[in-house]
Amino acid sequence: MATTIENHVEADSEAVLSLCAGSSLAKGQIIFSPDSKYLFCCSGSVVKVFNTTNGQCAQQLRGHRDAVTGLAINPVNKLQLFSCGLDGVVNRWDYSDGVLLKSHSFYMPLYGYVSVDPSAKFVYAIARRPQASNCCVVHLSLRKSQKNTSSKGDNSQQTSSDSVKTDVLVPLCSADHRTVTQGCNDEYIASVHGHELSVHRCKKRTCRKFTAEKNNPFTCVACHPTEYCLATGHANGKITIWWDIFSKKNSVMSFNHWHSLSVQALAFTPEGSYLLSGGHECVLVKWQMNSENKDFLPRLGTPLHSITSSPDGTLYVTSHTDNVLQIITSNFHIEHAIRGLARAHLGIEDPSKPIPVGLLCDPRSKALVTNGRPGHLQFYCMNTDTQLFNLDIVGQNYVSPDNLKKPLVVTEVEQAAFDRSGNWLATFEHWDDGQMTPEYRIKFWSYNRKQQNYQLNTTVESPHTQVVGCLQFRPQSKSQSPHTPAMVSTGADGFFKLWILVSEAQINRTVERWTCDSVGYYRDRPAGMARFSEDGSVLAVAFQKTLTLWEPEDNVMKATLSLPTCNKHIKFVEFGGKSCSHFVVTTTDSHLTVWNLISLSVHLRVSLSVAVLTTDGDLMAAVTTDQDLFVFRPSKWEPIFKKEKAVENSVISAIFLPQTAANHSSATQNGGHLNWQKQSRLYLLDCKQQLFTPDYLGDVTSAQKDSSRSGVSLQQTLPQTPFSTILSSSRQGEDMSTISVGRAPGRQLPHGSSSASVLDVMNTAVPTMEPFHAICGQFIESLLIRNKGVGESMEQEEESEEEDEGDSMATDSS
Amino acid sequence: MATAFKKTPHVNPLTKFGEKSTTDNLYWNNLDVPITKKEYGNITHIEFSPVAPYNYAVTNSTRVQIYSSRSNQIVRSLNRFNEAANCGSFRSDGKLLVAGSDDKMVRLFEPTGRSLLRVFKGHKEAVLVTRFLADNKRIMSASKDRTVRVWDIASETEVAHYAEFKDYVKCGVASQSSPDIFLTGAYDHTAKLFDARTESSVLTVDHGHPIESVLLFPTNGIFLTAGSNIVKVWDALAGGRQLTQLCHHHKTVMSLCFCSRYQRFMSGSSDRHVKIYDVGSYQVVHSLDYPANILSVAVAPDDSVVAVGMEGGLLSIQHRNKDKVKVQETKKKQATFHYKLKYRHFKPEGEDMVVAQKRKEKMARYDNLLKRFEHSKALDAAMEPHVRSQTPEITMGVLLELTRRGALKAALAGRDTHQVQTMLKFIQRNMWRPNFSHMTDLLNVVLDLYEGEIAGNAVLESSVARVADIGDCEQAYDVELMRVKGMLEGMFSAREAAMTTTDGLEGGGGEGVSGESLMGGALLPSAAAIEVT
Repeated sequence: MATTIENHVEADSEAVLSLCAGSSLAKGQIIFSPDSKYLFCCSGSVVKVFNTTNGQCAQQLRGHRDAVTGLAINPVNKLQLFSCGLDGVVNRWDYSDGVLLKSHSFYMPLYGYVSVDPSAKFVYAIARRPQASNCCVVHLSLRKSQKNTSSKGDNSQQTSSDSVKTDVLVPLCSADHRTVTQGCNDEYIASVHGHELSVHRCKKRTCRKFTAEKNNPFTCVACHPTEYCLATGHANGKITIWWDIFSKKNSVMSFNHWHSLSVQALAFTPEGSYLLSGGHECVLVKWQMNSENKDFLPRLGTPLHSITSSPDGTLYVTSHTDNVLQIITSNFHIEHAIRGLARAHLGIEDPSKPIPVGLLCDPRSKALVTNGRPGHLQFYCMNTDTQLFNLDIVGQNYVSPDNLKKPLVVTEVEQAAFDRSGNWLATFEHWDDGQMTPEYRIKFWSYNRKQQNYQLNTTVESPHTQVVGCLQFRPQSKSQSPHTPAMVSTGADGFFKLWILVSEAQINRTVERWTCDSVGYYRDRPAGMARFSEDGSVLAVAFQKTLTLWEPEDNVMKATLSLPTCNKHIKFVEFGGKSCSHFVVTTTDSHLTVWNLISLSVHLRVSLSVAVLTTDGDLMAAVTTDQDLFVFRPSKWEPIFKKEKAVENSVISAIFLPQTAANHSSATQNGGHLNWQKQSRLYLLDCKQQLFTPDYLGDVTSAQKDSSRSGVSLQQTLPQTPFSTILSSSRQGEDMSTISVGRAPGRQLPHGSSSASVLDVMNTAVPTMEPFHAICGQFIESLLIRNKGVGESMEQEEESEEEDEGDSMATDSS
Repeated sequence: MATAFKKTPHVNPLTKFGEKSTTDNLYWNNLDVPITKKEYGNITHIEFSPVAPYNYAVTNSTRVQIYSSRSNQIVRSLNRFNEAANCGSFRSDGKLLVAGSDDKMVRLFEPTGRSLLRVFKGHKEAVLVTRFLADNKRIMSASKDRTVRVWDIASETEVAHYAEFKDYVKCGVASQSSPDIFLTGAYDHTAKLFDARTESSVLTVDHGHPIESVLLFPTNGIFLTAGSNIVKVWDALAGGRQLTQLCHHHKTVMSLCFCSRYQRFMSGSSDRHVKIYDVGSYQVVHSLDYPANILSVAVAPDDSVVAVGMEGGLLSIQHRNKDKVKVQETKKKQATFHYKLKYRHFKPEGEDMVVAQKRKEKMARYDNLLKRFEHSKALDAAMEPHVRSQTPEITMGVLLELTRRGALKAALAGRDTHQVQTMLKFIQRNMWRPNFSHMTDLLNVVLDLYEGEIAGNAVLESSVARVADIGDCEQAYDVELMRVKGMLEGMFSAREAAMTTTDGLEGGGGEGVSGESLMGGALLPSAAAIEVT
């Protein structure tokens, strides 16, 4: 029986929690390839190569052990890329094939490149030397360390001491690549640190220093590509342009002041005719040099972090604090946006609850849903590691504050819930600046099939007089006839309300809207978490230390569950599923209690301080405040999976996401997949907004290798042309798989693989080619929708469903 | 532009007094200016052909005229009557027309030609009602001789005869779903449902007044009778139980008809009004006015034409506006286009690439100013007299947006006495609105800013006093409301206790719906009504 196999505790030591998403795209250096066709950026320990024409990730370069910070193109071979990271390693890649060519270790964290010597034998990089508190720009020889890397192991101590002797060029700088740049013709390096701007000539080893005005430190610097000219940004939004920095007299300065907040990013275009600047205002400003003209691209969404211009000057890339890169043409048209897992709460330091919504699963696309940009919900696809879209909930413009120390209170989505079919989404938004009357709003969104998006259906102003703590839709039971869709909301004002969908007939259509059906309360206590049982027949609402059970149909209280000895408030309530559907689990700060709903008694009680509790089917996952992870079934306390100190930072949310077909097949191929994650995979989100999932160590690396190998070479990931679709012979098999798997909403990913066969055809000599009529037939056939194939996939799905039923039957009987 | 500037949302003002603009109002207001025609005598009956193009038969004086619904002209006039014609009605395929006459005969015509196909003789008095039965092979007729008869078309013979009424039989309709059922109403206050297969009537209801018109739903389950100023609704399946009675006219209701695919029905009365009812709720959803006493009402099956016949031979025809919006657009273009572009009428051909001209979305002035962060001016734009008086929700929306941006104080500061006074007046006027709870915050900000100026200024002092009065009133309402709520809750719990004999659960149970309507005031219209009374 499947259950007996699963019941034994998994070997914990082998499993680890691997980081699967959430690393920042925006923090590291971002550079273009010399032909401006590719964009390189750092994403955690991976270097990602994006195609600038279609915005797709073309290649992932894996090899660093810590975050990658710096990137540079090899001046000798333009098809090679240098990367450096906090692990102190400089790697040389062939980015078109994704192959690691050479690796040099320097045993000190590197924070970014300043420049690479034209002979590619030396690099200037920002580093923090061992036992040093400040960063400096060092001159690293790639020749020396080559030997070191060849003889690894015992010599590591020696090599580290060797590398300490490396040449220091700028003794003091910040660990941010925006504050150090290289000037024209590699002659000098300019760096800003606090109130000081220092310009170092590389060959003469001279240094010239300038100071900023009081209380107005430098924030970033950019060097003109052809002239002895610098631009520096200041904390008050002023941009200073320093002309002729090496002249004997005082250098000439000119000021540009448009930004009201500090300048975050500066960049010159390759010809030096324009200066680009950006900051917290979310506006990209393009200054024409030597004139008063400037151009604006407003409302870029979130504050800018850095700007890069492509070598041919046609494209700019802005990186934003919410983990978005935007590729912008020189005439200010946004070509593509590359989005990672968006970071919520930019600028607002509230580490206790950065993501109030927590993690949710969109039942339609199986995407992860959580807070994104202010007032938005983001839909994030775990398989492709891309953000599908941002759903604007609040509908308000993001306005940057006048003063960064006193951030404006934005209306934030604090609660959200999907119903099981994915037809309805409910959100709760809240605005409270502590002075004015706070705003509370519940919105109901219905899924529009035509537009493949959620659309606003009903808005309820002030549904409760205080903050809403929980939203939950009532699930439809399979056995009974369907009831009207219903939702419960609980408020700190002591009430919980049941909302139902009513339809109103109007003259030419019927309108559906949500309305409050009934209200319940218990002893004037604030209502906590509310949950419906799996079949929707029981509603459980926590009122401080008591759990109350209600019948949702007519809102009559059926029973109360409380322990006389326990005075702590109930934090989480979850019903068991499948074979454990008669159990309800409650957690307090100190205990986890499982109640039996049939006998209304305590089934078991464990001393556990639970921080996060989530459920899927009959499985439950609890993460304690010490970051220990337990996966168990409510029926008995024998954890199926246990991992102590699962993650470093405190976990704020967890969810089981259903395994998709593609994911699942790859997992089974690799063999040692965690058994309990067959149906759905557990994801944990820590307070640094990084996503983790339990996995075997070997599993991850092999999967990564697979992906890196299967990654097609860059040439082939160029966007699809109509011609490339015509001549594809290898296409047929793959096409079917995308039809059966591709459930994700939105655009269909363009097919890159077919272009290989196009090249094949193009390279063949004309006389040896197939006759044209043969290709024609193939082409027409490829356009047809093959009924037979679809039928097969349908059958497969049915089969898998049958299997599921069989499984559940088995668990029931056991 | 990265993302378009999101327009400032309006704060839903929730309650508006006077006439509410519902979708029904919009739908029925979207009718063209009526075309009025003058006929020879009273228009006693209008009926639309059930098939497109929905021509309609207008019975007046000694003729039945068939009007085209497109051109509004008479396409055929059937005038083979010796005396006044009555009740010209179409067969369900629109190919035959039957009409009774005061000369005691029933005549069958072909609407496309003038030829008289059949004449049914047998009634001893004027025939007032003629209808086809649902099988399209028989005709029912009712007459002043108090009889109802059924005729076979093919053989021109009488197949059934009912003499159950005690007075003139004024009106009747045939069922659409069953071929033998028909309903008639008479001046003896009764309406009878007949089944042609039986010897006598199957159902009799007493309306209480002489019946002028009857209407039978297509399912045969429910029927309506109209007499005097009352319309009554009856449930036929429950043996003629009266469901409700509608009393919205103050003179005799002369005619009833269905519209909007049986989702609405109309009643036309001699008080010169046509009322439109919802069949679900039996509430009046709209009302139309006419210049004379209405005798007959009819609506095309697709709601495209409303025809109303009145006393003195007035016929009013109203078409539904379909391209109203389009007409306006073209007009605008003509007005602003001073000179014609040379290639305005150039049509792109096969290989031409069309580059669409990007139109800038027009934004309100306050939005434009907010976009440029000119907060003080934006407030000015939102406080303009026509904005603040007619659309206070916009003013409130802008004020909220300013609050969110932390710029409310800056925008309000530095105003002269007059402007402060208008602000106070705005607060005073809108304070009662349940959704404008931010008004008190706004008042606080104004008082904070202009404390010194108000103290010395008699005008401002009096306006503040007035605002305070309004606040006191609101508070008194609140107290009153809480009392009512307390009473209701007491009643509910007493009822619950009586209903359920289960042992006492701790704490309070669920509340009923009406209790809720007081609580979540934002939702239900009844709550809003209570807020103000």
